[in-house]
Amino acid sequence: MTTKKNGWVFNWLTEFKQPEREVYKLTIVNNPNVIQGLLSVQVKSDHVYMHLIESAPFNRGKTKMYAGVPGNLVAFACKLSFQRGHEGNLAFISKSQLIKHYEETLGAIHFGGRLMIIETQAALKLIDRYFKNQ
Amino acid sequence: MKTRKKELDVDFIGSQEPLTSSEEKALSEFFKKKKEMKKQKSLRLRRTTKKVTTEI
Repeated sequence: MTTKKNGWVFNWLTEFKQPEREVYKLTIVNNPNVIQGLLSVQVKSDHVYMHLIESAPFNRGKTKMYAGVPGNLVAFACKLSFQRGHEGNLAFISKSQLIKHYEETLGAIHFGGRLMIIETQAALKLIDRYFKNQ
Repeated sequence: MKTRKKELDVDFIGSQEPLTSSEEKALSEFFKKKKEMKKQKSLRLRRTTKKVTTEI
């Protein structure tokens, strides 16, 4: 269960209950019951808004089981944006101290305030990096 | 020499707090403008491809 009691930080039940939001889980091959990370997105009229990403409690910190969970989920959100006709355009909010990190690792652009965006070219690069074999 | 890509090193992204109306508006205006610019660009391209040259 993805509850706070089990170490999850965000309230995923609330996310799941909002009809306009889509919640996706990341699992590994042959083990669909163990959630490695969760993603909540909303498909807007001209972009995809990424509400939340959270790595599973055992995938955090230095002793994490799998690296690359959040990156994989961001790339999936970009893929979804292409599939829904929004050219890979993605928006999300960032803590001020992480803006530079997102620019360097995701190719995101600081839109202003706490808003960040990922545009087509950066989205293609992320998809290429995380979905190379598809 | 190959340079190693910097990996995303966070455990969480985003917040459960909703966007403010001004943030929503700014995003929607930006993407709308982007779409319009792309449309105009493709129209311009289409016009040039329709040009016919005649040999004398």
